[in-house]
Amino acid sequence: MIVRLLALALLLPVLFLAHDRIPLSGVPQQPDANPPRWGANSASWHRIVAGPLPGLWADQAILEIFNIYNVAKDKPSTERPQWWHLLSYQLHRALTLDPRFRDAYRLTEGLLAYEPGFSLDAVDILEHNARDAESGEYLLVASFLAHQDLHDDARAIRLASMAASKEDTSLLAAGFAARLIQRGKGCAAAIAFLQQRKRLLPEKYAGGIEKKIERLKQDPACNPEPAADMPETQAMPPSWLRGEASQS
Amino acid sequence: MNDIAALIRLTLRELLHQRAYILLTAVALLIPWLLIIPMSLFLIDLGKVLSDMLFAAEHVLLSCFLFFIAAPLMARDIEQKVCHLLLTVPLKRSRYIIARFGGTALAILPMLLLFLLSSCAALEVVAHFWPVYVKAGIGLSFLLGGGMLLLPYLSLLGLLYLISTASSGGAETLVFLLSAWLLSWSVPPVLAALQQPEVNAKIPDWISALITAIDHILPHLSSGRLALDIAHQHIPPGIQLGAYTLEHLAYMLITLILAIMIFERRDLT
Amino acid sequence: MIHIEGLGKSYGGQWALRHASFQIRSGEAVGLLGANGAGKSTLIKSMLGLLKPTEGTVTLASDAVYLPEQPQLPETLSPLAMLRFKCRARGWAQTQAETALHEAGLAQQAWNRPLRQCSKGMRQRVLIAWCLCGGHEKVMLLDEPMSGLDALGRAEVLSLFKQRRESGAAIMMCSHIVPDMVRLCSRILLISGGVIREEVTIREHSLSEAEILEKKLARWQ
Repeated sequence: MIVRLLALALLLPVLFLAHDRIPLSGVPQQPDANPPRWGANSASWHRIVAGPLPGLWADQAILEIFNIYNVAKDKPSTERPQWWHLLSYQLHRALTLDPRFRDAYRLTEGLLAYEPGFSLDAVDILEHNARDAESGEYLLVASFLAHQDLHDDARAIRLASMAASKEDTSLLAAGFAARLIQRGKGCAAAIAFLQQRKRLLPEKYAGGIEKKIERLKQDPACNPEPAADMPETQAMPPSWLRGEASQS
Repeated sequence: MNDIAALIRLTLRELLHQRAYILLTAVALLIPWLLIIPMSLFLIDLGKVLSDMLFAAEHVLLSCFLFFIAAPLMARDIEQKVCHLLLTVPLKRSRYIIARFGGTALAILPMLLLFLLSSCAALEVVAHFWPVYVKAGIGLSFLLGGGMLLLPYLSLLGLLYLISTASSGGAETLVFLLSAWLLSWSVPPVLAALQQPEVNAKIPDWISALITAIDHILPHLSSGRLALDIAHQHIPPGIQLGAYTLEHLAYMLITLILAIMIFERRDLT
Repeated sequence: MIHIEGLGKSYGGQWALRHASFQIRSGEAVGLLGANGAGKSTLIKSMLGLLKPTEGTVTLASDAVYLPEQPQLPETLSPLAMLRFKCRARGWAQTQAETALHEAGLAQQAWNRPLRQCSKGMRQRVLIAWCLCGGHEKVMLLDEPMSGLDALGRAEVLSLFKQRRESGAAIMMCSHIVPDMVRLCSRILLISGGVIREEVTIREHSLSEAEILEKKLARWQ
């Protein structure tokens, strides 16, 4: 009897805390003045709640996003940010629980990113979760968003470089990264980046990368001399060019 | 061995003829096909979503088996004196526990096999109609994952036997089984969360060491992680799967040995 | 056949049974008579090892067959399946299950029926068949064997146990039905407060004997 009472006594505060801290479902019809924000401990809390079914809880977050969007889409623009905070929270939740969930990435880049004021959120979500994903597709999208909407080319270059270093990368990623590098750091750096990609990426990309290098060398805006004369020790690009993840 | 084989057979017969078991088996056959409906709400990862839901359904089915079929069997045996009859056949107490456990564990197999085959068929049908969204061979990876998911439930079944050999009846068995069930699913993610660098930085060293020590006695690969990987058709390395199997079988054996030790010493009033 | 010496069982310092000593020879039936909570079932379960005795020794010449008081039989099983299990476990021929059910007087239509569909009396007959099955045991410990049976059924079952007694079995029977006990047993042990108070030898196997016995028991309450 004492054991049962103790077990219940322990269970109650856990439920109380969980209820208080973890908004799981239920889309309010009126916007909340203080919508939940994704905090430092949110990921841990949600991993605990998901228990043995992280995938299913990630799926549930996506359904929640559909509900939020369904309620929010007809609201006046002044009210929309409240809903989009909720949406961002659920996207964080879905990708924390399942970092390979393509539906969540698609909704981040297709729904959150195009709401004014939420591009930064979208880039954060994509960068944080796609870093460990096998596909570079979402990092490339994040890079594009960083360049286009946030006008943060340093971040865009870093993201594009990370995208170009993934196994499934495409010439598009390498090309986009090179173009950004060319704009920000000059042709020499762009060519060095492409040469490094050529060495690291599978053979099938070599021809395409070579063409891009040639095109850059022939670009009148470029001065390929420094790159051509660069000694072997200097040819190694810095870490941001090597596509290594860095904390920003 | 005659007596053990005979009691395993009797237990199987007893469980497989229960209405609850027949109902669960019917649900196990139907549910994979019904889950295609909510799956179709999603955008791209349809195979992954259906696998997630099937793993959840398997958890529900196996938990129902544990709570509504396996737990009442042992509770009835002890509370309603069925074990008095069986033990005075005569049958040694250790052999009685082994045979009852064996029969109960074997009774899971027909239901689980039907569920896995039905799920595999449903996944292959989905892969056939939506080849862009579902990778080929998803049914086979689910078969592997679904089979592996049985192992933690065998450990829990061992734990149920440990609980029921020490308890006085059904109510007590259910309360403790529920607590053990909740703990077994909540402790691994709590420990994993506590070992995250951002959380770990805030807790004292000795607690951190304690958490790491507790974590070392739990399986390295959690069933949640396994299910998620398999839903994405990423089969974990064989060494990890082997360790996962061995760890759960070891828990099952430990709990069963403890159950026998307790049952050998207890009074059957 | 049965030798009990100083048998006792205590729960947390409270004695449910104490200083029980008696013997039952081959071909003898002994009754155990007492009010509810007198210690009858404790004595039988201690003899079988279902309860771990706190003190004393139990010697049984062979495996004992036990008929517990109103156990809830597994509802999904049929009587035949129950008895076939016993035969399989002991390595006996399966036909012995059918013979025992026939002997216990259970109608053949009920042999394959799930036990949940059987009446209380039918279930009791299944238990009697369980005891009779094989017929190899020479020690029989029966706890309320007549429970749930009508007068005719009781008479039939009594004659079955008499046959077993005459073929050399040692029988110990607990019951509330004193006349049944008097008909079967040659000695009755009166138990009260966990202590065997008196041993009464039955000479006449008659109703008057039963009345005397009931009066004696009342004295010990």
